[in-house]
Amino acid sequence: MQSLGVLKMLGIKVGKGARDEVLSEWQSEIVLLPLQTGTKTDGEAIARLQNWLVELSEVFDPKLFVFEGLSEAVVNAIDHAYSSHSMTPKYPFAGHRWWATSCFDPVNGSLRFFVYDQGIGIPATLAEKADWAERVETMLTKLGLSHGDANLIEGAVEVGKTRTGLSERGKGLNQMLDVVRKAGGGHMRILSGSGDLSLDGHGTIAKRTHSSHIGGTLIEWSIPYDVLVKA
Amino acid sequence: MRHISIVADFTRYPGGRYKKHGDGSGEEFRDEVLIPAIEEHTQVEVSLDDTAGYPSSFLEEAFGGLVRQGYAKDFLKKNLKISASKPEFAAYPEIAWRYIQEASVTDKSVA
Repeated sequence: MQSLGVLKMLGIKVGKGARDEVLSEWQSEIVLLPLQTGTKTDGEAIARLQNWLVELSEVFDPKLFVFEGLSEAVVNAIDHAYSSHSMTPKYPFAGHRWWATSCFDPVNGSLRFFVYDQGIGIPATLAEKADWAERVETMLTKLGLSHGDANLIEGAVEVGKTRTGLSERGKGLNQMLDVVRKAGGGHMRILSGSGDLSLDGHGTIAKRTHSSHIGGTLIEWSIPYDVLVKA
Repeated sequence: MRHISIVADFTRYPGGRYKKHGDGSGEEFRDEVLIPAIEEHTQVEVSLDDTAGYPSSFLEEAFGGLVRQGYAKDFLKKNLKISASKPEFAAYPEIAWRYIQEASVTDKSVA
């Protein structure tokens, strides 16, 4: 929580012992960068998720496709996640916000990026948007899939890959997937509603439906760290 | 010809589709920078170099949105140049033109 900056956001001062513990953790394990949050898109904040990595090491170079994928996730969060008038966030005091962070995992050689919102989730959004729902329904039939949350998310991703839709909905998901396609490796995980879907650049690699709603949507990208290393 | 550089004349951090999404949206760029330039000058060139990247919703609303605002595709082909000189930005002009081609004048709102 200290690494993410959550304690600072909440106005909590950290004692020296705790701070030393965090610094020790930074030197030996995952480097977790401060949490970014907002109620609107904020390109500077989104760019910081890569720029801080550049500050950690000059070998890193920000990539356009990472900025674009993270930006689309934030746009989806503020445009669709909280669009339902009947929806009350699980933690109302936190409001209709997005949160994002990134981390460097030197042990596994990966960079990870996260965007979270506590909205209604992709499966419930589908139910409220008739034009999108119809296309996803057609896609599920084509793929021979049922209506579980994980399948609905997979259907939405597949619709986003097509170029036939008038609606831009779903295309944001496709641009989010571009992060792993253009990285040439890694995976993207979408936890939304009770669905849990992992994809690589070619398609779904794992999916499951959990017993309860996670309280929003969490998108995670994990890509090899050398993708961001300067040529 | 009026030359517009998105990074120099608008923002380094292109945002979402609509103004309601926050600063630097495609709608803001289209309505406050691009359309005034088209109205005042015979020809307009937009350079896409050197930003942090382009969310697809920004590009679609900025350029595809011109069609929804009533600009004919033939008029845009004749009078609008979309360019990028740096290799990492080379794909974006084609994407912007694809959004113009795919946009429909009857589809007033896409999100």
